[in-house]
Amino acid sequence: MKPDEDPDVQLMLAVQRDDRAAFEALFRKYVRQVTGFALSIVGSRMRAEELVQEAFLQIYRARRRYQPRARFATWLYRVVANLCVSESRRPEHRVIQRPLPQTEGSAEESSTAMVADAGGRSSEDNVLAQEDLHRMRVALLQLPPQQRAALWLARVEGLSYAEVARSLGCSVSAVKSLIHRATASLRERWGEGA
Amino acid sequence: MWCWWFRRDLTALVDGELSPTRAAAVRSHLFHCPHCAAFQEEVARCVAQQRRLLALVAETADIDAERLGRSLAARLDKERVPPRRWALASRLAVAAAVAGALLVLVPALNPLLIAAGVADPPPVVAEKPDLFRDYTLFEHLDALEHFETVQAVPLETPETAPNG
Repeated sequence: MKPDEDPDVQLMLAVQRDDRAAFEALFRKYVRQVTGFALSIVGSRMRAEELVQEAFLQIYRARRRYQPRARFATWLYRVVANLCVSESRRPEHRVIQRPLPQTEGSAEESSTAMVADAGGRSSEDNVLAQEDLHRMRVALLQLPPQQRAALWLARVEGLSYAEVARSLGCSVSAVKSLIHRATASLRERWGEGA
Repeated sequence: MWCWWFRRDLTALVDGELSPTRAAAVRSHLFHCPHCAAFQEEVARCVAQQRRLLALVAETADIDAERLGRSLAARLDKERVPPRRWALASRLAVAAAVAGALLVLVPALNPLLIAAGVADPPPVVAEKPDLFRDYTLFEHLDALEHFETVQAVPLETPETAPNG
């Protein structure tokens, strides 16, 4: 999709003309998925929410300089990814990252419910699925931030390697390498945990 | 021997991100190498598992979009209207800076204003204009003191310049 065909680019151009409603529409559309993306990188929901708010604030402040060169989502992910990768490289973040979502009760409970609802499985299956989910969270947070970001954008958001490259500000071959290494690391860790 | 060269592209092959030429080369290798073919199946299984579980991780993130929206709107409102106290302080600071600049600049600009006839000269100058009449002479005193240095530079005057 070309930038001028992207409806979100039109909304962003409206934001450039100080249309606050357009900005709120963009926020409502993307807040869940970019917060999920941020959470996958920083590992703390509170920090992920702060970073997503900061990203939208940066976008609003930079609205006058906005030029529609790419899809809006690509730009948004780039801003969020930059903030999250910088955040996850801070030394104090490494301490925060260790406890993982086990400590975040509500997320764990809701994920249990969702896994239990999926497909009417037996309680034993549900426990196993819940364990898989938890192991995937742990394994994901053990990856380097760039690998985590690239893997999430490709696997969850369904972005092509070229779009991931634009979102992370690197080359397509770098993305190919990041995703390959992330996949291999997750495979190894999964094998270790089995 | 060349298996590593193909294996590094297996993830991209599963994701459908290889160029047609490269994908054909990798598939050709997989056809002839049972070890890499088995490895390829393992990679494909892992990618499918990651897609399924990561999507579930995303769905269970339990994000309160409404609360985040309200919080962001409040921060935007705060940025848009600066606090009145701050606005008053900034205006006072600008006024003080302008007054200070005028205090420094006006005396410095006085000779120019006098030369332009906009301002009157000081009473001392007005009473004894002869003291200041030959001011341009002083400009050449330095050159006269360093006459030898000045002379070292060859000068061509109409009297000394050779004809033709």
